[in-house]
Amino acid sequence: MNEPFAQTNRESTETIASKQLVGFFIGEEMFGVDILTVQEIIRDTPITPIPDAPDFLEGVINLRGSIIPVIDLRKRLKLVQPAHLDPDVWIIILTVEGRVTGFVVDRVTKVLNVPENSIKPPPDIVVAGLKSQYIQGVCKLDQRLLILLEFSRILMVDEIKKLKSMKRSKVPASI
Amino acid sequence: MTDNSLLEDFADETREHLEELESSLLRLESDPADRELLNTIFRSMHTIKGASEYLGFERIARLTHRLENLLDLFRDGSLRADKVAVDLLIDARDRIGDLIAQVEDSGQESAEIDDLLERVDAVASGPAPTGGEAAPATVYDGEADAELFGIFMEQLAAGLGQLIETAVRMARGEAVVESVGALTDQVDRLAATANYMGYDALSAVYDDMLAVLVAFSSRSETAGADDIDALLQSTVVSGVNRIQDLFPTAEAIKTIDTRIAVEMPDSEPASQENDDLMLDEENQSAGALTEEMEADAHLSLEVENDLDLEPEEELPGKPVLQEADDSLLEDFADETREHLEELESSLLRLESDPADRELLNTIFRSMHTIKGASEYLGFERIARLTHRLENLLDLFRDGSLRADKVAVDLLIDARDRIGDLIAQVEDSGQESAEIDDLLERVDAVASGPAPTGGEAAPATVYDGEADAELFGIFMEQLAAGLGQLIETAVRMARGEAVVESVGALTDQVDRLAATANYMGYDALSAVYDDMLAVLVAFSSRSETAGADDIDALLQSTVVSGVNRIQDLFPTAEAIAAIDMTVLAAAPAGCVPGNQSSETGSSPTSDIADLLAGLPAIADDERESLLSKTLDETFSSMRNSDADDSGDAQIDGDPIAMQFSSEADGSDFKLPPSGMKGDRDEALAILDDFGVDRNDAGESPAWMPAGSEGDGDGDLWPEAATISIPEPQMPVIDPETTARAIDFSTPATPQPTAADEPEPEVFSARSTIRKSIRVDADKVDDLMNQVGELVVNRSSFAQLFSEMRELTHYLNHRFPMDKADQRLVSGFSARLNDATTVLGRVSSELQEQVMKVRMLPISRLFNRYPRLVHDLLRESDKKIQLQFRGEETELDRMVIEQLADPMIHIIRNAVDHGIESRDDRKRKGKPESGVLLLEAYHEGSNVIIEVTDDGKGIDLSRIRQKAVEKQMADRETLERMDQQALIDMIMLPGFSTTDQVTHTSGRGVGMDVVKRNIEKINGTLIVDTRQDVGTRIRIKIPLTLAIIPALMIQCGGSHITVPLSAVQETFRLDRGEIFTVDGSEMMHLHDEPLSLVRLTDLLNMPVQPQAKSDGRFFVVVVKAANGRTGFIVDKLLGRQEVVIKPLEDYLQENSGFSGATILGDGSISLILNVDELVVMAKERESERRLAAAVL
Repeated sequence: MNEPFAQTNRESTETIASKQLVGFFIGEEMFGVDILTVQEIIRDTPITPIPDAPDFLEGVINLRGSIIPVIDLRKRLKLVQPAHLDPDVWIIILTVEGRVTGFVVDRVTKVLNVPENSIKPPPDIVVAGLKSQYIQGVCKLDQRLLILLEFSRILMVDEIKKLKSMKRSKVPASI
Repeated sequence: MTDNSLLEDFADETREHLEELESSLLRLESDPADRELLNTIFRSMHTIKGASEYLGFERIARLTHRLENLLDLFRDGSLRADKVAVDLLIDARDRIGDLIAQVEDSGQESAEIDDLLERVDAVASGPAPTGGEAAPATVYDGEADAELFGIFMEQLAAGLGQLIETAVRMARGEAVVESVGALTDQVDRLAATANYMGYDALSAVYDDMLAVLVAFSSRSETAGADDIDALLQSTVVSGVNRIQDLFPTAEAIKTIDTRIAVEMPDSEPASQENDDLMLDEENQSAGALTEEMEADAHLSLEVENDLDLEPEEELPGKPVLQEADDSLLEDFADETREHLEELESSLLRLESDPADRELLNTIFRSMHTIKGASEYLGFERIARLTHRLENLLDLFRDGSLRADKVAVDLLIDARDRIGDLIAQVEDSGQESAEIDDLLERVDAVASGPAPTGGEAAPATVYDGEADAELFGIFMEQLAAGLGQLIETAVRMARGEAVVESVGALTDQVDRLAATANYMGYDALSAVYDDMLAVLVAFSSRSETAGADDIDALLQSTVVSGVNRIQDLFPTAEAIAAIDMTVLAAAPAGCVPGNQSSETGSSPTSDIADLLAGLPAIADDERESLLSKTLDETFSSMRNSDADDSGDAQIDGDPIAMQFSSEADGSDFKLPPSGMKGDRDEALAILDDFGVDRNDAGESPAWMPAGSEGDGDGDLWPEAATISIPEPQMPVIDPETTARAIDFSTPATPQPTAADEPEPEVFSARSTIRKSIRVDADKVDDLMNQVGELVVNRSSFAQLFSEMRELTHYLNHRFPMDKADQRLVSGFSARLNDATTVLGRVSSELQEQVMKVRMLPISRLFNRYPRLVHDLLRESDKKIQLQFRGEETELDRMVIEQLADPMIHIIRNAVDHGIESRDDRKRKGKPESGVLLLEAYHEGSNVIIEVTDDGKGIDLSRIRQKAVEKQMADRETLERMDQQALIDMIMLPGFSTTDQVTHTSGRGVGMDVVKRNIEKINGTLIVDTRQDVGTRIRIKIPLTLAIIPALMIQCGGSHITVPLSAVQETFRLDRGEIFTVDGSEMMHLHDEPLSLVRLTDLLNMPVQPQAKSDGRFFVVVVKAANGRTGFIVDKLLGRQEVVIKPLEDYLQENSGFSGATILGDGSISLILNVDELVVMAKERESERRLAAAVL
């Protein structure tokens, strides 16, 4: 029973070789992340802020007994802050290099099927005010530009640590 | 071959043993004569040896083996375990540890052990030959050693000189044959010296030389010059060179030998003279020494022989066994049970895959381990059984036997029996279950296939016709043989041809023994062996033996032997009945009938034929032994009529047929006598029998009948008819009744095999193992989950209160009638109950799981005797290390975390605390200092105290240092109380620079200690008094995963402060705060306390309402570097929380050590007090700096 079904499925992937992405929006920009790295998507969870942390570190959430850090993707990518934020945020929980981390986005779209060959390397120019180092690739989808984010770069732990120590040393001086 | 898990287990176990060894060795040092201790050490050593041998770690095995020998010397008192020896043992222990580590890393043993082996030899042989001189000296670097070594070198040089002299003579072609002999002698003598000194490598050189020489000597007469030259090259020259290599620093040998080595092969006359001259000198100078040395060597050899013998003689006695303490026994039982369990599954798998070598290895391994342990503990039966099973398994392993169903069943039965034995051993310390039946079965299986060849293989083992047949034949033979025996005995008793009769008896017994052997009946063989022994002893004096002697002989052999055999086969009607008749006949005696001898002889020859014919059926027989209970066998026999049996036997053996025909006649004679006899009668009859024996010439009439009857008895129909009397038979002889206890079980081998194991199996299974090994991670996971549960409990409490509020609200909004209200309140009451129960169960669960992780603190304490021992090695201090409360249990993780800090503390106490002996004497203290490690429970904490009676901490010194290091100004120091002063030693940086003045007291690494202890939420208090001593008190929570905490609110966040860090909390009026240099301070108990606003420190938003309020809450925390008061918004109360780690990048330098999940699912961060205080100080100083710049 299942066999022909599976077969057709495989054929289609073979011929098209598409990639499944979870799409999400920050502001008007559309981004995508490989569905395989997405653990789950949650809404409406209280985030406990961590005092004295880099501002993009939104805080921590309680994910069924585990404490997961949450990063505000907008702040992390230094995207433009809109006048008023929708308080109802989405959190995409990703597993990036073994670390489970939540990323705050404005809203999440449905799962997107993108042909593998339509994904292009990041252009040299800045896209949507985004440094190209955070971009894995881009592709055109329904007349829109979909940006595939490089989350391993976004969650570069060393950088976060450095940011923290920089911030720390700055604080007393400013007082 | 050895897989990793095996290796890991080995390493783990060995390490455990090494740990035990260490503590034992250290105790040995103070009490070298403690036999129990020596036994413990020996035990550990032995186990390590066994395991490493098994896994093929040759060096460890060799080392431990030698150490065992040495320990044996200590045990039997021929040597004393002095300091040298203990040091050696400790070093060896360390080396074994190294080897284990290497083995784990690379699978290879890379560390050398030869030096240790030499030392072992030196210690072992040291005191004996050298007498008093060497004993007290340290082995390697004492004066005496050098002396000894010097003497040895002299001898060596002289010996080698002689060697070369002979060689030179040989090279010149003089008296080659004699020279070879001389060379051999000389090398031999040198080898003895080397042996004596324990230089294995040297001995090896000599051995090589000897081998060549011996080989040469056989053809020395025909050897040409070339041959000789080659010989000398290969022996003397290369040998000497190798010896030179071995002693690179020994100049005497080097110079002399090299010269000769060069000259010798040339064999020039001139050099010969030189050599001769030189050698003469050598000989003269060394002659005396050499002689002495030889004498010594002989002595030493003798001594060694003695030493070797003694332990071996001791071993069988095994004094250890009785002393084996309970815990040891328990361990043994536990371990063995584990192995048995493993065995069971392996055996069951083996059944389906009999050729699996890996499986066989596993089985063998378990068996071997059990054997080793039981041997060691002196459980002789288990050891014997496992040993035999090992042999059997070996046959399977090398493929000479196939592990068929019979064998596997046997193994499983044996496994069960071992389990029974273990249970018995545990209960009573005694092995009461018999194993002889199993041993017989093992033999049967082991020897079975060989004679039977292919025939038996396909037969089903347990219920084949063939078995019963074989057994029947055996019984026939047995009965016939016994009949003959008795016939001969009767003749002897009559005084006829005593000498010949003895011979005949011996022959007959011998033949019977062969049958028994063939059948694998060990117990039966034993009977025959006993009989034979008596007979052989008698035969030497048979010619001069009087009637009394003969009677005694017969009593001791034939009568008792037959009785024993009857006991062995209580169900074998044929034997029982027939013997009975014989015995009965004997007293009645007087029936003349010489025909007996004739009839008797025919069965004998028949037996021989039978034996020859037997092998074909042997395997079936074996199967019968294993499978059918005798009852079944006999019932089947009874059912089958004579003709059937005859037919059946015709196939196997034509002779059997003859018997069957004879049998018919004898059958009818026998039953009456047998049936009448009840026990008393039988006893009386036996006595009569004995008396009657004295009057020669009775009973012949019955004898033939008996013998015939025996022969017939084997035939099934007859056996059936005579069956009634048997039960009485076994009890007949008073002698035998006494022994019956021993033999009772083996006497019924067949029934035991089938019946007994079953109930016993159950009993074995019902005793559940008392300990299990679990991966620590699993326990940790479980602990985490339970922690979660405990926290969830509080969310239920919250739900309940919400529910109550809701009820109130609903009541208010929608007024309900009484019934409705009752409904709601009833529900809320039930919810409350359920919550309470959940709470209770979960806290119990938590406690239990916590207990699982608990280990006695002795695990920790036991690491330190070695430390103290090592620390004292270079000092003249004497310290008594005492333990108290070793059994106090503590979380495994806590113990691990404590190990290092404790080392620092103990090192401080030993190095700086306790004074030298002279100082102590001067102060009027006892010469040896006391270091006490103590542990006890105090609430939910464990207190560990390290107390010494040393000189204490010099407070003025601390002040001085503090000023020097600019860690505090004089004023603050003056104001500090003693506690605060002492706490200063724990400041980072205070101690490290302190090392310059080594005598200044504690402080080395104390900051490390404090930090480590605080890492596990512990606290550290130092209490000291000048010249009285110091006590360091460590207080740690029982567990790490759950901590009591103070919940606070600050800047709108819920924050958790570990209660262990909180000193006190109070409410503060704004007016009480004063400012010093811009930082806020207050007076607490007349001491200044710097205050830090947590909101400022953590850059949290300030709550407006908190600011307007004129009052604050202060939480005083004590951190590594002093007290600080945190100003917080609100105190929320106490709660137990489960610590959850934060992602490293969140936690690092954040001022938080983790987070916890509250009852409502929200997260509360846990403050890292130490880090915060440091942060506060940093910020303070930076602020001041900035202010100064401005």
